[in-house]
Amino acid sequence: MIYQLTAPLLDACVLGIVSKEDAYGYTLTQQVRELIDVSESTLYPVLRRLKKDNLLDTYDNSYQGRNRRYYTITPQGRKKLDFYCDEWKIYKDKIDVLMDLKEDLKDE
Amino acid sequence: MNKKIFMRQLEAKLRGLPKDEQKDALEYYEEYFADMGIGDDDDVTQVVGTPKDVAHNILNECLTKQEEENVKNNSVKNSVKSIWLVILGIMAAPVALPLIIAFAAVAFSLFITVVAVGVSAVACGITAIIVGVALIPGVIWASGVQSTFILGVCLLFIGITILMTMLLIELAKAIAVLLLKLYKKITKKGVVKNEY
Repeated sequence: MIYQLTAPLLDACVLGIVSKEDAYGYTLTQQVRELIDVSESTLYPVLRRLKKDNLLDTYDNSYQGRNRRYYTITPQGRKKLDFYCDEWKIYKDKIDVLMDLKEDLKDE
Repeated sequence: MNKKIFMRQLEAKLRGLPKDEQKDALEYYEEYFADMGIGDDDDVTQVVGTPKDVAHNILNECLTKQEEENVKNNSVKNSVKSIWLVILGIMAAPVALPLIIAFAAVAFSLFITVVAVGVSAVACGITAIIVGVALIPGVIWASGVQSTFILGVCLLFIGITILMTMLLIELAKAIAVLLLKLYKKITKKGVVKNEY
């Protein structure tokens, strides 16, 4: 992919995934990787940042005698995701117009 | 590199971070490998990269956070933290060696400058205070205008010392912020390659 996934977009993607269903590190990474080429170690710093900012929370479940840390979205996280979605739509529309995929901003 | 060695090296690279931070990262990767079905002796660098890369990503995230923190509250404590993170980052940086050396040289010279200015400021300060205090008995023997003048000089010296100290602290803080920015700029190329 030639377009880069920058930090806010990556944050938005992770929040989007977790908003559907709580997930743990491995499945989260695989879900992103199914569609976009990121390295396996990309997501840890993102998850850490989102947790620090109180957008995600974690809880532990045991699985086959070991621990598994699940990430879940917080109310602030949901709000932030809504914000990211709105921003993304605005941005996407603008780029669409400039790339001639769309007539003007009011078109739907 | 097998998982066992990878985890040991990652632990070593993250050693400067707060304890809970280290534990969190190590547990994450331990769990990640378990979910992938990777055993102690399986190769993991193909999957997640070298411990250096992984540590660098984590440290870089800490640095970004610290930068925000510095903007919010530029205290001495935050400055010290910034410099510490930069040092850790340099050790884990996947940038070319010459760059590291150049950066280390710049950082070192800045550090020496601060120390030199600091030492001279403190020396001046101590002298000023000694002179100031030493002159105080003069007030007793001198009379009228003279004593007022001497007292003024004493206070002046003490005041200059306080101002110089404050100036020095501000300077040190500014340099810490500068170092952090410089570091991020230098390592940016390496980060983009590794991170996404």
